[in-house]
Amino acid sequence: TKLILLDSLLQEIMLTKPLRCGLGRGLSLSRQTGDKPFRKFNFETSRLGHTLPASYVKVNKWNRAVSEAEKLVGYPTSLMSLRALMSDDLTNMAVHFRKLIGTDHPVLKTVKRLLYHGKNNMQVRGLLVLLLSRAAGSNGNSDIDTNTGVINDQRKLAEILEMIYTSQCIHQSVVNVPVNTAAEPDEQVRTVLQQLEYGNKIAILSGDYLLANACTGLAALRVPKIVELIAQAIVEFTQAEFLGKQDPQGKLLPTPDTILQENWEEKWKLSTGGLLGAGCECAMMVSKQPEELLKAAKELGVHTALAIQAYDEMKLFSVDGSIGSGAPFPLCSAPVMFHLQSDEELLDYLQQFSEDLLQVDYRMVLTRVCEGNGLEKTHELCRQHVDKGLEYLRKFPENDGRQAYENLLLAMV
Amino acid sequence: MQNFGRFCQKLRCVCTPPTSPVRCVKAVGRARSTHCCVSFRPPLVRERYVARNLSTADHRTVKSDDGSRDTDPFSLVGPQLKSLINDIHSELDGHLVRDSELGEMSKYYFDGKGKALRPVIALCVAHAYNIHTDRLDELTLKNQRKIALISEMIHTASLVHDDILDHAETRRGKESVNLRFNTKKSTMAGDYILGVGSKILAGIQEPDVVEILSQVLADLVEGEFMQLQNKDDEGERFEHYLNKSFNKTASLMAYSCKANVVLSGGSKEDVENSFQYGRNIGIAFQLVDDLLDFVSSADQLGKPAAADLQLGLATAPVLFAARKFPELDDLIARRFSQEGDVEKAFRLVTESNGLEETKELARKHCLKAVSALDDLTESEYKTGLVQLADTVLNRLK
Repeated sequence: TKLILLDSLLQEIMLTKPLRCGLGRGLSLSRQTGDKPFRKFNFETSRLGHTLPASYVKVNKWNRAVSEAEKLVGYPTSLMSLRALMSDDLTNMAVHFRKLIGTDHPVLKTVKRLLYHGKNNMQVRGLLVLLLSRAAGSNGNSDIDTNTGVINDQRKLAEILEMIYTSQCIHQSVVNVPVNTAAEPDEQVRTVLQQLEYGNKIAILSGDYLLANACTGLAALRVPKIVELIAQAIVEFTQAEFLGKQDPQGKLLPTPDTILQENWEEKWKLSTGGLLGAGCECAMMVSKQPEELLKAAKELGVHTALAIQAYDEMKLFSVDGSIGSGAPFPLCSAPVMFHLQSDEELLDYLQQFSEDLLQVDYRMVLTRVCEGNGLEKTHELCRQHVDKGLEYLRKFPENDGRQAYENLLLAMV
Repeated sequence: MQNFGRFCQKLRCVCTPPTSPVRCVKAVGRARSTHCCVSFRPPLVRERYVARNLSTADHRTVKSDDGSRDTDPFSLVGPQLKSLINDIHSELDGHLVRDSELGEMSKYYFDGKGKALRPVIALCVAHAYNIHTDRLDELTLKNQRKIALISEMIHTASLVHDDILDHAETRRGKESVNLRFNTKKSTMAGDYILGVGSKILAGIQEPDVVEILSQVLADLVEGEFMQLQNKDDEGERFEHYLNKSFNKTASLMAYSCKANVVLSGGSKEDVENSFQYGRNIGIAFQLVDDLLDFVSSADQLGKPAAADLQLGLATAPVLFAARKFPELDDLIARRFSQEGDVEKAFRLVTESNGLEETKELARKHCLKAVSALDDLTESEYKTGLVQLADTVLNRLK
């Protein structure tokens, strides 16, 4: 009954906030077969509001690579941790999340993204760690699963990594509400604020729950060095939140001194690169690989995470992204930043909105970015990191695990 | 005069010549891999150990022939506490990649104004058991200090998140961190403090200790979830409340005591005893906290009074009062959400003997805590721990 409750809840979440995707146009799904760069967004033909189930797998190089990889090393485990959270008797999270349906709290969107768009939306960290474990080989460790070539501790590490990433995403969906909501005179505004507060509560608690479970899992591995590396990753990503200028709602605003590639790289290196790098390095530690492989694994993880981030941001601006018709999108994403390097006028325009970024005319910004060379440069950035990643990947022994990882990297360019 | 227990059978030993009135700890007869003569360590070494770790201000009271001395646990570990705060500051700063608001936010609650109860308990237990197991080396002590540091950091990280969850406006007499800065950043700051704490924990290089303290995090979150829930059955309510108190407060104290005793090489019974001490002290502390929420004024507490009722939480005084006034059951079930509920509950609690019964339960737990220390070797620190139970019971804030 628990799973039925969970699934019905998730159905509700899906239906109340319809997916905004371009599939409603009826264009062929095989449009996106890798070779052509992404087409410019076409406003006239975009349409909202079709609730297609996410299991509608598009024929796409990335998805194919992910499916192949899953067959090799087992299913990704990100769903497990969130499902575990939702169906836990004690936490009763399903009930709490249900109360949030109908509010505008971002945590609902995050949970939906994490639960349903697993394949399409870069929930591959655990998978990458597993592939790398298989590629590096067991090095004499006997606790290995012969089908997948992955040591059990490495699999646990992959799960823990996903849990921490999920917790990070959920904590980032907290919104800034004023502390004293009861003092708000307007009844309607007060209700909305209280709902947002409740959403915050659920977000913080879920994130903490996942983090705590991850920590107990890490401790059970009984290797303090691994705990140290992962703790370092946590320390890094909490700091990434504080870089750059933000408006009162916490949305990032690009400023003249933060639109360089180094700034973008620094932020994402701290935010996700550190985590994936540490995860890969720790997986190698479990199988007691030599020092050079540890270092290679770490660098590979960092570059992969950066490539994934660039690819993600590029996809957002593509024809399948959900930002048609003026919906807000992150202004510090790579395409925008690259465009702003050559478009000072737009940069000045954006500075006006440092108090409330919701007032920006996103449609206009989107048009200008798509007309400029932002997207091409992001593609170039992605390629740079994929190339660097491949360099480090080549240090691992040649086998199907390594090949699957290579395929994933190459699917992004 | 310190009473070390029975006379050791072997007055002669090939290693060290026995000194005058030799007394040994109960070590004789206990399975020990070390030679019996270790127990002949002259009392002078122990005095030196104690003196090294006592506050310099109290040096004059450390006299072996003088019976009376100040065993206030807070002054026993006074200078160590001060250096603890400095260490926390330098660790938090040291891990910053870039100067940002995070530096200010993470140190905001580490201003030395907190009660620092948890580090005091951890340190006193550490010293007491070091004397008990005779492990008086620097490395053990260094690691135990790290545990005290970590326990304070975990506590503060949970405070930061709790203030967001309870939409608190003041704490320790100043603005809460989520009011001063904002919610999103406070969430991240809490995670940052936790991350740095975990890193220090990993630095101790002891897998047992890492496992013990990671359990604390799970308990803390479980406690918060328990608080969100309402148990409908009245019979279950009290047990639910005690479990929640353990998870939220006592768990950290109990597990940091346990970790310190593991580090000082205590036996299984020692470890269990210290866990029981920490657990009972923690529950007593929480009971008194709930009591003070009713009794104290806001200025004394540093945070608003009757906050628990405002948040809809039914704490021990209310639960006791509900036995006398069954109409409170409805109010508890709807979490004091209706107009006038908070005032009514407050009035009924003061009319019943909920407050006295709470204090009595706290006293029982303090006695249990002290009796858990029965097997512990006598020392200033043991007396300090006993006195701590008294402080917890009778504090005003």
